[in-house]
Amino acid sequence: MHEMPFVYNFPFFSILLTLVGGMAMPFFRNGKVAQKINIGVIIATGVMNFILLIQLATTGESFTYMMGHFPAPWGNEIKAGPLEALMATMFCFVMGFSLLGGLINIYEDVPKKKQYLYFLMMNLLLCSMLALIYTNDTFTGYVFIEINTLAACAIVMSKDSGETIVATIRYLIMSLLGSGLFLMGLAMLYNMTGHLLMESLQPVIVQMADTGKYFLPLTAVMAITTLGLSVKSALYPFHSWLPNAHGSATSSSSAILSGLVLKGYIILLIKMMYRVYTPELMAKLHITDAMFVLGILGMILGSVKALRERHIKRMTAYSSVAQIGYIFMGLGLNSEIGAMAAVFHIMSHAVTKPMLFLAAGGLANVSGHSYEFKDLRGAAHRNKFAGVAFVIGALSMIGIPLFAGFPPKLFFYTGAIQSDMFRLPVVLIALAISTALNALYYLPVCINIWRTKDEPGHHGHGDEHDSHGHGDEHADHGAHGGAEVLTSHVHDEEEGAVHGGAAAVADTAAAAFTQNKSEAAEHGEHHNTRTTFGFRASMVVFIATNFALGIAYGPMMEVIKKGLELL
Amino acid sequence: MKDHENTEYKGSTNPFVAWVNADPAPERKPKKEKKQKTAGAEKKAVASSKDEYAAYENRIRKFNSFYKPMAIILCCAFIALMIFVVTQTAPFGIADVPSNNEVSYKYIEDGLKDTGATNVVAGMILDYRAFDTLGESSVLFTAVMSVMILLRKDRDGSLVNDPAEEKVIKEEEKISRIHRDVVLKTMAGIVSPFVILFGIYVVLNGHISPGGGFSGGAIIGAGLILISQGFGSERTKKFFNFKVFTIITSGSLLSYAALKCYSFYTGAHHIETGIPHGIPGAILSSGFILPLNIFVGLIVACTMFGFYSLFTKGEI
Repeated sequence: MHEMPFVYNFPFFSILLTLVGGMAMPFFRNGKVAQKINIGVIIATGVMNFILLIQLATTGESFTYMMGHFPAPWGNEIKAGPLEALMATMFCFVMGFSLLGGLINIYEDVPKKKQYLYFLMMNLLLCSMLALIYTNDTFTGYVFIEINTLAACAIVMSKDSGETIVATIRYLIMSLLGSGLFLMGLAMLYNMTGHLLMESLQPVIVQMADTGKYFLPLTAVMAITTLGLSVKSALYPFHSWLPNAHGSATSSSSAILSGLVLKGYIILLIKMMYRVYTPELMAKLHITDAMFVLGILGMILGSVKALRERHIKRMTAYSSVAQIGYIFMGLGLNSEIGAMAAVFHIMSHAVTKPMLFLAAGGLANVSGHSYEFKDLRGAAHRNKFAGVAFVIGALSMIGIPLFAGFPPKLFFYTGAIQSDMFRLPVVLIALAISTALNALYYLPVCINIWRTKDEPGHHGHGDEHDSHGHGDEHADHGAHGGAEVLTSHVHDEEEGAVHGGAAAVADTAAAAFTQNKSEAAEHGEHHNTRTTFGFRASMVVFIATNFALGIAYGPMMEVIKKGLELL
Repeated sequence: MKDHENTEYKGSTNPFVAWVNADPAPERKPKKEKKQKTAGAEKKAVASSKDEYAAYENRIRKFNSFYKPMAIILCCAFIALMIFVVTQTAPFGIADVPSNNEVSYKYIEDGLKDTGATNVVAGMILDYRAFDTLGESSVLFTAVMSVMILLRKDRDGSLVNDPAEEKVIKEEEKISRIHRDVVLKTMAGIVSPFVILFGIYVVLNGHISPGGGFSGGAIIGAGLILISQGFGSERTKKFFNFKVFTIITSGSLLSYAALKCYSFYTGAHHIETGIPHGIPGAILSSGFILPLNIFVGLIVACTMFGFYSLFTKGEI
């Protein structure tokens, strides 16, 4: 046995490091310490996976790594190739910057004594997603799906409010349904083949398909495992849990759930498709057809749903439904380029959607923590980084060239041309409609957040709400007024709801009302622009990545192509 | 700017412009009410909200009358389909089935030699497929930590931190301390030592007889719950508080991970671990399986008791 390069240990190290980091956090029981551990672990994991990616992409190899002393069919095993390393690197990257961008909201939304648990869940979530990416064993996949499900629910409900609890319950039920279907499929698959390892399953399944033995159970297994993973990744008719869960959670949670957690399951599905079932068999049994149809439906109906929303995070969440539809449509094209485009879309969505969610969170932070469109008017002037990031994210989601959303759409077209005659017109029309719909729901928001204050319509609602949400800040401002502070605080509490908390300086409420309202608007511009360095840094990095993916997509596609071949 | 103060902007009449401006969504009111403009505004608001509520309730009722039967029909159809599919798969319990292949053959034939455990199942879950079991233990850890996020009382402003509620709980505890159920208390005193002892036996003998960390840990957890029920939570708190809980759970998991890291790393690099398998059947045999069983048992016991106390009191 030849000596293996040290780099090949990195998948194992990264899974174990994230797991151990999570397990160690209860010893400290401190949010700040947990956050430092979490960020450190994510950086270390990201660097390791990046080195691995460079190594594997240049040599073009894949390798298996024994987890224990027993070779593959008996012991556990993980496998890494360029695609896996690419996905793992991207996941670490996106998770790190999503956390960084939303830190301020995490500390606001999560009760103080539970903050360390939030970071613990983040660590376990990353661990489970890395394991889903690297696993070579279907049952190991299931075990880490369980961790992923629980941790994902936990990061939704860690924002302590009734809304998130309801959203979590819905998410948990749907998610458990998905895991249950996947487990049932695995049990039947084991019954028919006697294997759980991906490598040994494939020849048995191909042989079974050729001889026609166990034809019906095999079809059912393929259908229900695909269905289970589709439910968990919010394919169109099974998406009902998504807008609530992603719309109500704290910004970082929404960003990570939408950008990464959904993708983890899709990557497992791609691995099942390529390593276990083979794409030919999936096409023969019409499972890819179903994925294609549901993907197209999701692309259009998800966007239609988004069009009706007036809550910026729920709209972005519905947009995720549409984007997941794109990915499934690409996988359902039965063509190599289609699958490559789907993988590329996983990446471009994973760098764009977290940016949108964080930007939405940043905009809401300066608009009285309201996510309604009417309150966000002009919010971009108060938080320029978030405004720019939101516009760029929106343009990327629409698919404008130079942005990350453009290359996958281009390749979806190419893939459709490679595909059969029925799919080509459907894809062309659906992509056109979906792009138009994307523009229809993203552009008004972009225009709206960049509105200036003087335009009509502003003073009706937005202003009052702004000043309401920032009552405490204006009260702080009032501290310059010395003795009036106390009264203003009292005033705030008593009449804050009516006067929008703007009565910080004046004594006579009636006379002060109009005056303070305009003052509040001015303070809104001066005071509320406070954004943390982390937020700005993460926005800049996400924007840069978006451009990088949108411009230099050639090499990325090469890596993806190599990765899919080596799967 | 002041000019705008008093001009109330009602939203554009053009729906698209209104959409771009993000005007508040037009309230959907029944057509009837538009005619009754003379009625007092407040009265109208009350009436319309009442009507709306009734309409909403009606909609829910209609939805339920459709949804429930459909859900039942769909479930039954799915169950029937799955049962039919399962009858088509390989039958259970005969020799000539696909699952009876070289994989399971090796576990049974070489299990003792490879792992040193006379209990094949223990050898399989803690040695052959130890990575899965590490994942499984982490599932328990994740579950108990998630429940902690949901239910643990947080004195710095959580939803469950209601002083009145706390008072009620304290009163109830006081009453139950004075009027302890005699039957429960006596029986718990007699039975619980044996339950816990049996649990420990099952954990320690996991590699040589049926049982192991998961089942033994569940028994120990049940014993702890019995003590807590019989003697009150303040009794268990003396030896099992939150600090002990975290130290045991995290410590066991970390030790498990550390042991398995060593074994995974050496395994992948084809290095001998240097851990003797011992004489099969002896208590100190089969390498890492005994300590791993102990760690798993501790995790499971803590998880069980943690769930119990979080769900009853909201703290450990």
